[in-house]
Amino acid sequence: MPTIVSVDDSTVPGEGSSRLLLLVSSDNKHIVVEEDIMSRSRFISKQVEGFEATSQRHAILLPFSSFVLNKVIEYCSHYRGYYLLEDDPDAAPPGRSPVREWDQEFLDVDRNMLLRIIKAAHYLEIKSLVGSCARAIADMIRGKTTEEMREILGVENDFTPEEEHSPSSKCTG
Amino acid sequence: MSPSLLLLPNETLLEILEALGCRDILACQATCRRLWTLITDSILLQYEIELFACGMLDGARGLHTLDVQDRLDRLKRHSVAWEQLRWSGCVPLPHLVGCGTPVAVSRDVLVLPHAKPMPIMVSAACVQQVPSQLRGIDEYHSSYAIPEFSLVYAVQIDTAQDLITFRRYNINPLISTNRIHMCSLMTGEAHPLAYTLDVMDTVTPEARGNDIYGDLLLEVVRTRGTTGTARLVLRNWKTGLIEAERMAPQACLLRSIFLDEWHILSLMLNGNDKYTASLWVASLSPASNTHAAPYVFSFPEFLHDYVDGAYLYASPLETATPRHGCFYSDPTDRLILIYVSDFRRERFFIDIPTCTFQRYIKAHPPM
Repeated sequence: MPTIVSVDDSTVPGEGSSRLLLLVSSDNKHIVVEEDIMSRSRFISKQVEGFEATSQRHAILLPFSSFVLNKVIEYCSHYRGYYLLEDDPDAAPPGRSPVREWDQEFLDVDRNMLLRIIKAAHYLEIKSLVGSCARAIADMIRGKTTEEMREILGVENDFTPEEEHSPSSKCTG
Repeated sequence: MSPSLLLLPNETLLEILEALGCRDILACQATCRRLWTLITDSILLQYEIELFACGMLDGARGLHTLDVQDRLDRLKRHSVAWEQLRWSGCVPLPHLVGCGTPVAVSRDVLVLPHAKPMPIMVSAACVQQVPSQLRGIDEYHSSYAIPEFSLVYAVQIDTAQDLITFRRYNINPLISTNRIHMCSLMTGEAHPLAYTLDVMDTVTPEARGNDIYGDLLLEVVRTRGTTGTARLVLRNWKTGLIEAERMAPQACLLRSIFLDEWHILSLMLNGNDKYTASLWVASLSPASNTHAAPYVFSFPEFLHDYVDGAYLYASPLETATPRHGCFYSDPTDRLILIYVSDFRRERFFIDIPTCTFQRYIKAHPPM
């Protein structure tokens, strides 16, 4: 059980007006990060609004490891100050998330890591990162057979044999 | 066991699925119940699948106000209308005096040769619009002269591009030549976008069949004297450049060539046994082997006639005699059979006997 550490405003270094956040990962690593880096995350933004309402700042506990968290912070740092349409809560959601080259390289990781990142991105409500991960996962299963997809997605065939052979869908029969 | 993707929430899974093409969505759907339900419940994904099954593309967004649900409903109505036509919807067409059997069809427009009484060798092409109650379209027709239309074959039309293309066979005792003509479907004059195809191939009239898909024109070239093989040349008809070539398998006759986004499809008549036919499929992917093994889909009860193209028995629901007809594939992926149901040629009937083989091909793409 990680200890909840309160962050004193006086510890904020002088860089800009950005304040610091203390994030605690599931493996109990304490990570200090500037608030405006994480403002891309709707989840963090809501937490910060809560801090301001109550004038109480505390550490934010996150249900994933520091390894994944650092990856997400790397992503957010890269796009610090950038406007991404998907992350704008007031903008209409775009039909499909655009391809960003940097993201493709950034997400050139193994399947398990990709899964952890997309889960973390979903938890933190970073829409642009969820979109890029979804695209990366789609690229992994594109052109594969159903059997290969089960392997990659880690799902079990839970159809009964009758269901499997019935023409339940178009184009597959 | 590595962690399952199913631990992700539905909205994230949908985001992954929406990044996939239809073929992959369908493969995903068959993996497990959760994904099956997710995909069948998603209006957007169902719309993608329906578009694919109909061989259509989504229209530009923003030009009209239909939402995805509306589009899906309309598409389904369209599909159902087509499917209900399958065995029962014989549409009688007004007979045009002096016209022979249809030589080409694209969507709902037919081209028929129209012989004028004098002089005998000069003839005309008649363009006839098939009436549709569903879409409120009346029958109409017009014709224009194409000199010596009787020596023309491999007629293909594309209503979307206002294009009619045909080969003209030049009878000459020393050298027989072919020329491909690209004209406007409405006026019969040279098509403004077409590259002038000055290619004079020395071929036999056996080399039948052209097809158009977008900018691509597929020609079958069979050189006189050689037996068994035919070359399929895929050419951009606007620039004249050859994009790909494929060799047809030996010892067969290719008839009724169809071209789509991914494949060349052709009715293949097997060697000496002209009473069996199968579907020959070549991939258009540049990586694929040019000598790809024929992908066989055999047609039941198929009979072939050397002169007229194809006979196909009537539908299993009817017990009529074989009907005179010819195969066409239209851009919406339907296999259309047009036949004359009585030999006095008083009326034409259009039948749409099946649309299953294209779906079959798409579900089982040749490797």
